[in-house]
Amino acid sequence: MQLMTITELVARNARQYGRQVAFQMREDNGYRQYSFDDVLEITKKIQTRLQKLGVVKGDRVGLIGENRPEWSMAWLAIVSLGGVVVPLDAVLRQEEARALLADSEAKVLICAERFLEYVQGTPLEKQIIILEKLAELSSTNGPDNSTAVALDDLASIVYTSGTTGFPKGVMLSHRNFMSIATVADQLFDIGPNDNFLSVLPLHHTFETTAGFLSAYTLGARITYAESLKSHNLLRNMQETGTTIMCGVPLLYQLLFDGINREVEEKKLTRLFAVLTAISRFFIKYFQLNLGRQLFATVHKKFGGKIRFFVSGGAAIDPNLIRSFEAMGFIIIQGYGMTEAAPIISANTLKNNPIGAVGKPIPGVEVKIAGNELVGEILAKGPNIMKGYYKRPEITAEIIKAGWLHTGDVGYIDEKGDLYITGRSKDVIVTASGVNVYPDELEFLLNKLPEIKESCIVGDKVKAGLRKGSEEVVAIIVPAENVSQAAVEKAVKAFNQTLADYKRVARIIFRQEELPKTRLLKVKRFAMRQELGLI
Amino acid sequence: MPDKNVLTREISELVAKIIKLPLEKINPQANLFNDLGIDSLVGVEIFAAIDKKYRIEVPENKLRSVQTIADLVATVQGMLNK
Repeated sequence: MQLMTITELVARNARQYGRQVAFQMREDNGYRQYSFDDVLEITKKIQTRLQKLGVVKGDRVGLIGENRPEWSMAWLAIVSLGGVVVPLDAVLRQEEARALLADSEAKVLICAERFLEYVQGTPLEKQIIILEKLAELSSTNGPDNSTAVALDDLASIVYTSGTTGFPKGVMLSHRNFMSIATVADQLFDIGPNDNFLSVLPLHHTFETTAGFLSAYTLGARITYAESLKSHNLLRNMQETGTTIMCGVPLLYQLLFDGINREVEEKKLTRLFAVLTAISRFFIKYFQLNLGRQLFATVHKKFGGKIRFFVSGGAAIDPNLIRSFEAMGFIIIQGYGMTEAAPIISANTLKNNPIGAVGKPIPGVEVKIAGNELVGEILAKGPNIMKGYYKRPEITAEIIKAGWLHTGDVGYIDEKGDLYITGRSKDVIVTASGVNVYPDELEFLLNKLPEIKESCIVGDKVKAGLRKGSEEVVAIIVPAENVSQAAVEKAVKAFNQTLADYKRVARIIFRQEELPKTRLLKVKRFAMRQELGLI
Repeated sequence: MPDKNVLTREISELVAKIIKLPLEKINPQANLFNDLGIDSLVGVEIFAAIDKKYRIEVPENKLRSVQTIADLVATVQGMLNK
């Protein structure tokens, strides 16, 4: 498929798929549905309103709200008008969201009604479009004076936690997104007969590109889960005949645990173990997967039409993939980062080695730095970001001679499959696949009067559901004459101002000054060594 | 109407099972998010298990106001009383 801009895509899809359902979501009486024609019509309405609010090509427009069809239509409307969408995480606190809207100089905010209070008393207060009220926008033939949009025009600024104290805005172009969306059919054979179930937050680039834009580009239907409760997800799958779902490892772990609990409750543990053993035997010795037949009841619960699941955001436990495989479910793992819009490599239906993250997707080159066998992974291709918004100095640190320096460490085997073995950066990856950057938290913690200085590190969770994944640990030197109890109280209050995933899970107190480099940067590696965290 | 102590024990057991920690580590006053490391995805799963056990429908937006097991117990008790 030839690359086209997202502007061309919306018009092309209305012509090509017309009355077919593009987006839907469960309501009290059935599903609220939007066809590809409806999407074109509603995006025109939104665009007309955006123009009335003064938006012209290149202007930034904030977007915040929980997953729903209207979120996706707003995203398409902003981008296909030539605007730049700034999607924000719906779990951000007011101060965090305001800071990002200010940094991006957003001219308009499109939001769910409950976020109106976030901009009260700011210039954006009167520059609002409400997602729940899109139907009330007046009909239109389309925006006036449409400006031509080109593939290398900026489409989105996606904020990721920052390594320098403030989140960085990743600038992604039409080409970045569409270079991935248009190859998804080559990789996964996706088409108009597919039904996606969208469960990950849409602001997350993995869901934006894999779960939304790729599906939409290829004419598939997307159902937005009305709730993440497992019984609701299963109901959505059964009612809509879900064929594909993108998730993070924790989601698959929860689904698997749910199956196990039901097996225990029905006293079928022994039978389940025997069927699993039979299935694994046939996979190992005959390369034959009988899971779908042996676990027909489980498949029925999942709607009976699942073709595959995609896992991203964080590394998935290979044993979990094997457990699903034994039941006849395929989990495909990919690899990437927001700076690569976000997919760099992916396994496919024909090449799905467990433990690997696949070959580079078409058009993308991957190599190991310094031509070593194991080393930092570098990537180059049409998906690599234009840079960090207003931060040329840190852009130059991560993109050198066109190669994105991922900060992840790995190797490429003789078959060309990429394996990730670690990270060279300090980023902490939680079980939900969210990145936490220590510098950002330290910057904020060090502002607290109770704290003299701090160092944030990731430590493996020792027990429980998230065992093996990382949690945020703060090494804190209290300010003079401040008790540990007072610091604990201050950190507790500080946690309340942060999105859940960034919260400090554990404090390690220290009286001596933190070890630093000559440039006064905390020696994080030395701290981790000293505490036995590596 | 279930007794508050019974509900506390049952819900603590349910949380312990989902987050795979021993029951003795679950203090009803502990903060679910800060002390037990629960995030919104796991929180939703706990609500789902509560829905199933008590045949109620705890709205997901309650996640914003529930901080402890004790809060969860109060929420469930309130819904069962209706």
